[in-house]
Amino acid sequence: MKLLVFAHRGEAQAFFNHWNFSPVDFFFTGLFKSHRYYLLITGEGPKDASEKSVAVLSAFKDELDEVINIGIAGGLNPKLSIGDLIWVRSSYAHGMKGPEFKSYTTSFHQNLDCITATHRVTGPEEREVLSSFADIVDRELWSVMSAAHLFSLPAYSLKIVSDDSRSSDFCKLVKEEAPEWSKKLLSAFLEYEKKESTVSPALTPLRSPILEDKILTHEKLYFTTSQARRLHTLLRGIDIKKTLSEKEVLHLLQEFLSAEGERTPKELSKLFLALLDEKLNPLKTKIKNRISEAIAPLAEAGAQVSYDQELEQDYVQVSFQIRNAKDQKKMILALEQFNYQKIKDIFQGNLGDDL
Amino acid sequence: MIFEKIFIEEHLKDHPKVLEITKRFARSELKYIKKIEDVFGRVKKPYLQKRTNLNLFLGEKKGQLVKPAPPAYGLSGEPHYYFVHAYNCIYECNYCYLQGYFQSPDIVLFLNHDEIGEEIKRVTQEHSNLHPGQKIWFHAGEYSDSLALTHLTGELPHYFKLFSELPNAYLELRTKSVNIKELIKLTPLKNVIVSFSLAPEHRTKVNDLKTPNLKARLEAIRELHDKGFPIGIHFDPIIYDDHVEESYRELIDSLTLALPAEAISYISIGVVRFTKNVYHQVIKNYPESDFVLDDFVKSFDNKIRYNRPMRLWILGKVKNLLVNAGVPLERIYECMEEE
Repeated sequence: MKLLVFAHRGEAQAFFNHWNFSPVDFFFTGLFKSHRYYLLITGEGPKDASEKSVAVLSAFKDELDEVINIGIAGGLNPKLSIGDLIWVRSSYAHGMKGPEFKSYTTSFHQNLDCITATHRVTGPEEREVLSSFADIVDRELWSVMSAAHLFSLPAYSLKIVSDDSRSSDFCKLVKEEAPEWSKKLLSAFLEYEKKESTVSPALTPLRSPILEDKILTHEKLYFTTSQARRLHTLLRGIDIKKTLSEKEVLHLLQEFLSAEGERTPKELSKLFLALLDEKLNPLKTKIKNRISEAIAPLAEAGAQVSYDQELEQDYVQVSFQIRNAKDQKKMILALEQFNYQKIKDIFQGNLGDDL
Repeated sequence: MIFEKIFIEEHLKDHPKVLEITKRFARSELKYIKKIEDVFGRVKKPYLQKRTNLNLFLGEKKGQLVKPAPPAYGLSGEPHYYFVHAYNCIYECNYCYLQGYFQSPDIVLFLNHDEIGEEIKRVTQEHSNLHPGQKIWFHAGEYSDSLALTHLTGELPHYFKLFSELPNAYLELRTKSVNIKELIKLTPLKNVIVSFSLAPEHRTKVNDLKTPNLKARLEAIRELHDKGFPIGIHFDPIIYDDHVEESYRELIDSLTLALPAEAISYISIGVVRFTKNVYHQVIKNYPESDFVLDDFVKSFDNKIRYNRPMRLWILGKVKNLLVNAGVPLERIYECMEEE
C-alpha cells in the first residue's frame, strides 16, 4: 500500500476521480483510502505536512511500503517551464535562518532538486538565494521525506511546475489550472506505476534471497539473529567477489553437513559461518592458522590461549590451572616450547612464502 | 566537463581568471555570492550527484593557508606541510576520502595564489631560521588533484617561480591526471616533484573511476621524465585481492619501463584505509564494489583498515618487489602506517 501525500485537494482531484477514495476516521480530516492507496491532504506548509505525515505513518506503518509526495512547485531553474513534470532527486529545506543541512535523496528521479521553504517565496531576491540549492521550490516535500525517513520507508516526489522563475507573481494561487495539472500528475504517476510493475534488473537483489532462505531454514542448522546477519553479509561478499556460485555454496553446505556429523544445529551454524568466512577471507584464515600453530605448545598442554580476534594487538592470553607439581612442570615445558617471537613475526606481516 | 552553475565571490567578478573561466563555460549559469561558504556545504549534497550536475565555485581561501601535514605523510625526517588551492576532484575513485570529507562534491577553486605563495615563503623562512639548510616540503592536492584542472586554473607558473626562489623548499604536485600540457611548458625544477598515484590496471578500472587508465598515466610519467621533471610515485591505496603480489609485480615492471627505478624520487606505499565516516559513505555510494565487504577492523588510530598482519604483509611484499626492481630502500616510505 502506498501513501500519496498532497498539500491541497485541488492537486489531488484527478486521483479522487480515478479511484474510489473513502474518508478514514482519524484524528483530523484529510485522510482517505482506496483499495490500493492511502491519500493524505496535509494543507500548505512544512509544519502541517510534517505533523500529519508522521501521524499517518505512525498509525498505518504496517500497511505502508512507500510514500509519494505529489503536487505543484515553483520553478527556480530558468530552463524549466510551466507544466514541466519532475520526479525530484534531492530534497532540501530552507528555514528562516537559512538552509537546513540535512537532505533526502530518492532513488527514482530525474536530475532535478527541490527545496522546501517555510513560507511563500514571493521576492526575486529570495528566489535567487533558493536557486543556488535547487531547481524547484515547494512547501511540503522535505517534511514528507523526513517523516518517511523516520519510519524507514522509501519516498519519492512528483512535482509539476506551476510558476517559472520569470513569473512576477511567483507563488500565486493556481486554482484555475489545478484540474489540468492534477490530470497531468495522475497521468505521470500511472506511467510510473506501470514501469514499477515490470521488475527492473538493476533493482533485483544481488543474490537470490532463496539461497539465504534455504540455509537459514535448513533443518540441521539454527542461526541467531546476529548469525543470520553475518550469513547475509558473507553471502553478499561471496557474490560480489564471485568467490563461489550459488550452486557451489549449496554443495559446500552439503559436504560440510555430511563431514561434521553429529553436532547441535547451533554448533553447525557457527562452523558453517566460519567456513564461509574462510572462503571469503582466505588470507585472514591463513593468519589465524599461523597463530594456532604458534600457540599449539600451550594449547596441547591444556592451557586456554586467546588472542586479539581483530588481529590488531600482538598479545596472547594464557589461562592454565595448576593442581600439582606435574601440572606445573607441564606448563613450564609448554612455555619454554612456545616462541612468542613467532607471534610477533606474524603481527609484523611475516607470514612465510606459501601464502 | 560541464558545470551546471558557476558561483563567483562578488569581489572577484572582474578577476582575469574568473573572466577566462566563465568565458570557457559560457553555457553555465553564473551566480554571484558574497562568499563560498554561503552556499558550498550549507546543505548535504549527495556525493554521486557529481555524475550529473556539478557546480563550480570561484573564490579566495581564507584562514590558515598552509597547514602541517599529518604524521607519516611523506619521506620521514623532514617537515611536511600542505596548502589548499582547491576542494574536490573531477575523478571518482570509489575509496576516496573526499566523499566523506566535504558535504558537497562541487568543485571549489581558490584564486588567491599570491597569498598562498606568501604564506609558503613565510613558513619556509621560519623553518630555515630554526633549521638552516634543512629541506621543507609543501604538498598540493590534499583535497583535489594537482594537475587535472591546471589548463583552467593556470597557477603552475606562479608556483614554479616561487619554488625557484626557495631552493630548500620542495613542492609535490599529486595527481592521477595526464593533463600535463601546462606543466611541460615550464622548465623543470629539482625541487618540484610531480607524483603519480598508480594501481594495477584492473584496480584502476574498477576503483579509479573516470581517471585516465594506467597506460596513459605511465605515458605521462615517461614524457615528464624525459623532459627532466622529477617524479614521485604513490602506490596508495593498495587494495587486497588474491593476486595482489602478482599484480604489483606487473605494475612495477610496467612502471620501470617508463621510469627507471633509480630515477624515482620517492615512492610511498599505503594500504587502503578510511575514517569511520568515509567508510560509511563508501558503503552507501558503492555497495557493489568488491572491497567494501573485506574484513576491515578499527586500527591503532581508529581508522578502518585491514588487520595488522595482513596490511604489514601487503606492505612488506610490495616493498620487497620495489627493492628487487632496483628502487633504493631509503626512497620508499610507508604512508600513514604506524612504526
